[in-house]
Amino acid sequence: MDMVITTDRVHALESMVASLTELLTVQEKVVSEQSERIMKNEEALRESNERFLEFIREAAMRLKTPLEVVEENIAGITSDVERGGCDTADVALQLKIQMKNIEQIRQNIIDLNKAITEHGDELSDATRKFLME
Amino acid sequence: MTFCLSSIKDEEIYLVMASAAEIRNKNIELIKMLQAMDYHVLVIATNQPFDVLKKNFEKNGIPMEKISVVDTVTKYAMGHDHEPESNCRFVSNPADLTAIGIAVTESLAGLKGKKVSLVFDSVNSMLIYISSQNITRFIHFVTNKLRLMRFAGIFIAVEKGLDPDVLTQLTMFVDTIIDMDKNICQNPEPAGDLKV
Repeated sequence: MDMVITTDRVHALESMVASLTELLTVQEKVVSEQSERIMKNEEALRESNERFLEFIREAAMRLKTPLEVVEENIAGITSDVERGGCDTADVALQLKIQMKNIEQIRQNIIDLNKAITEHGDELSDATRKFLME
Repeated sequence: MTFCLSSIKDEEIYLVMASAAEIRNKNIELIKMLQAMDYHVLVIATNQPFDVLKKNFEKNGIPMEKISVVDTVTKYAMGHDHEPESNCRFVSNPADLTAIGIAVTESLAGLKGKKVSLVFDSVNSMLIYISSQNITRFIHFVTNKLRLMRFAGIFIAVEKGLDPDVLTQLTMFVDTIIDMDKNICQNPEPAGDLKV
């Protein structure tokens, strides 16, 4: 009797071990797939962050520098006018150039805002509208 | 005149950096010095119109006979054509690098056989209309042309207005970097000489 019980137990244990091994294999597969997915997500996030940082750097350079250029140009025109002897047509032309520069800087800001709104899902519609106008 | 600028050599390409406030006066100083060295100067003007440049040059005793200009701003700001000038090519739009490239190529071709220096004024004002990546490509294109034709070139920039990576790329196209504020000439190569 004892012998039969022992054999049954052994079979049951073998079956449990087989099930556990199968479970372990499935878990290993799941963990491997998950870690692969996490690695891919991390890579995508890293690439996205790099692109975003690159974009921010370019945007900063294309806003800060042009504003300084316009500031210095207007300071130069003002100083020429204050010194006297300036041709009105020349002053007008130089101011027109600065107006065009400012128009373009405004367009650059709109482009920057457009890029932000395209990637900022949490922004409200009102904020999006404000940034784009 | 600073030591660095007076040591400019034939057929070499320079990146001249100055503060934003100084850049206006420095270009006059630079062109005066180049003419004294018998250069014909081709100015790529991306910030000041030809009419104003011409008057400033004349006021400072710079004869226009040895000056050529590629003006990228006048036509765009006026909205119509400027009267033709023998020594100036007017480009319609400062963002049109193809048109600027053609004007530079034609102007340089017209000066073949002369002792020529190109003065690019300035890298920073171009950033209003063009991305840093395209400016870098354009400067590479111009420096290649200058080297093929054995001409000298000076690119003026405001150091603090440029991203360090962009600045590093620009330094790769030139032979010497001149910091006018600190009066330092530096060879961009790792083992380059440094003169103060």
